[in-house]
Amino acid sequence: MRFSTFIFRNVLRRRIRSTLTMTGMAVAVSAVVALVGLADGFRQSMLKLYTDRGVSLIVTQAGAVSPLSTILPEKVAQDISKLDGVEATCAGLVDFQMFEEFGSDPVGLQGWPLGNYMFSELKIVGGENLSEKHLGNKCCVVGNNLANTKSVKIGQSITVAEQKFTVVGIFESSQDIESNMVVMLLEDCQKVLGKKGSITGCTVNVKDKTPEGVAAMRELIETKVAENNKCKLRAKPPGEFVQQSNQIRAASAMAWMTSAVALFIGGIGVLNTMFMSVFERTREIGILRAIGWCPSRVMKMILLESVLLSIGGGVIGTAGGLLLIKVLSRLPVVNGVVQAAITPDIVMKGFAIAIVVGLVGAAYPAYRGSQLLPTEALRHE
Amino acid sequence: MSNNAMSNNGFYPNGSASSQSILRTEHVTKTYTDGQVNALVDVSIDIHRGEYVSIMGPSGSGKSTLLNMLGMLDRPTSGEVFLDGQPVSRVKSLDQLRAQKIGFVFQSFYLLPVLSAEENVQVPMFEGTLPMNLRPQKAAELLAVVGLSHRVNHLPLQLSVGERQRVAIARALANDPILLLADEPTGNLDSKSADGVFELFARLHRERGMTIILITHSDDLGQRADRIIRMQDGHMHSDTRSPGVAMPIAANNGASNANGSSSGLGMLRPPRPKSILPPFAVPDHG
Repeated sequence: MRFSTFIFRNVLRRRIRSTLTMTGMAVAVSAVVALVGLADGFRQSMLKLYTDRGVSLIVTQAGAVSPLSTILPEKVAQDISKLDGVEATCAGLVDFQMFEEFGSDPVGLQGWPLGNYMFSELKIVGGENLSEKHLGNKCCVVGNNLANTKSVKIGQSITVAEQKFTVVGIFESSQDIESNMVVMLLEDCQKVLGKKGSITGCTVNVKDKTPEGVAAMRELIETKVAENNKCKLRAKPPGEFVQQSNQIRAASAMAWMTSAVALFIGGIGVLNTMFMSVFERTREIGILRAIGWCPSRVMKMILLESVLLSIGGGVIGTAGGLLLIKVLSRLPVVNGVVQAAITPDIVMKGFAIAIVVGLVGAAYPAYRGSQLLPTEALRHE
Repeated sequence: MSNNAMSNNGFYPNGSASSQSILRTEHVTKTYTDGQVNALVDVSIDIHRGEYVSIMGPSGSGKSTLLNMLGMLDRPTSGEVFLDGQPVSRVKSLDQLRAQKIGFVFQSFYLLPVLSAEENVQVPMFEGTLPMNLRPQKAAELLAVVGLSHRVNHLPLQLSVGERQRVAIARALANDPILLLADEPTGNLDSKSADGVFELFARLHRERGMTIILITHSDDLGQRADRIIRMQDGHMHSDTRSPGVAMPIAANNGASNANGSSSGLGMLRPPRPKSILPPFAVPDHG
């Protein structure tokens, strides 16, 4: 008989309690997997918006609290596009607005310059893309997700800031964030948002995509272009930009904080179970000590039993968490904002957390159990 | 051993008992609760290889405390215990001594309910030296020794109480101990099962030369041993050889003896065979 067999049988001895403990752990782990998964999904969704389009740098106003709150002169994008080594740029004006037809949910609004390569990246699945003929005619295209959830039809008018825009096309995007947005020409967007001649930021695709090439361009933008426009600029690679985004950080912090509460409760459950287990088995531990088991083996037994319960909880919890991500990401309130991110990293995190919580929860009971004197344990009733 | 040897300095000087001495206490005293309770007072016992000894006495006489000392479960407040000639006070961890040299049999068996008989016998082997792949075979053979070869895969709940105690005895033999310590091993058994267990002890003693120390409060069962040590109020009251011959005890033990002769501990048994599995069978006594 292997020691692992012995541990496994011990856990099976109290099936109901083991099941309940595993359930508690599973709830904690599923909360971690689901919440952190959603936060990761949000981050990955944002990141892919840029990486899928070969964006090397995102230029925003230095010192802005939020990417959405930055304001730059449109000329910044024009200056950047003229730099040697720049493949393409896209000056964008982005904000969240209330559309009368879409109820109380704020909807993302993006404005891009006419003819910008970003328009060609949109896969039109209905109607047509925005082109020169739409300039000055207050037209827009709508993401398929938004179109589906809000039943938007081609030719329909939608109202934002008391101005009516005609939906001329519906586009599909692999990214949930974008597929829930309205896109219009930059000029129209500036009028709607009252930011004439301004942009939120500018994406830059550089020819030399090596880290050195990107770093050189970054420095050029932050110094030369900034000086020319008498403003302070920050040019960040997409990963850095997304990671430092306030929304991402808030989502991630909320996910971990909520998870921490769940994990704490799960840990208390393990602590309780293992304490009860040690207490109930005091005499048995005394027998094991009497027949020669050393304290470290008793400790190992209790810790491994806890780890086994935690792994069981981890398996159930991870599966539950993945299911929860699928369900949560389809809820109307998050649909289009958050995409399910099921990665090996999250699964590993779920398991690692389960094992750590199991070990921490069982540490003190294991210590107590190992310190039982055989003579006293044998007298225990 | 002579009277002189015993009275000289209280048994064997320098911890070197006779070559047959397997377990020895020298002036062992155990005091609990800050000196208020003297559970054992100046007890000196010498148990030789191959002896079958019963320790008897009423509740509170100190026999359980003595069992703790003899079984390396506890250390004396004063005095010394020698196991196989080695002073126990110099041993840092008693766990290894217990695992390798002492087999315990308890009144309530304490088999693990989710493990089969064979697996229960393997539990002490985690602290033994036998390779893992040989353990099932050895456990099965030990179960055969106690007459349970047909119950190898049964769970404790599927066994009678007598069979459970036999499994516990097989478990006690798992690491080839040099002595078997049994604490009221028949306390939870009916008379038929108890007889079967005693018969098993007798066979282990007779056919394998196993040293057996039996703690019991039952006169009837205690008398079956070759040597009877009676405890009273923490003192060794008498040390006699069965049937009913009073044996002398150390003068400084404060207990009387019947004839003033030596303690008669030289009831030599052949050394226990190296092989753990002598081919004898024990009939079942469910």
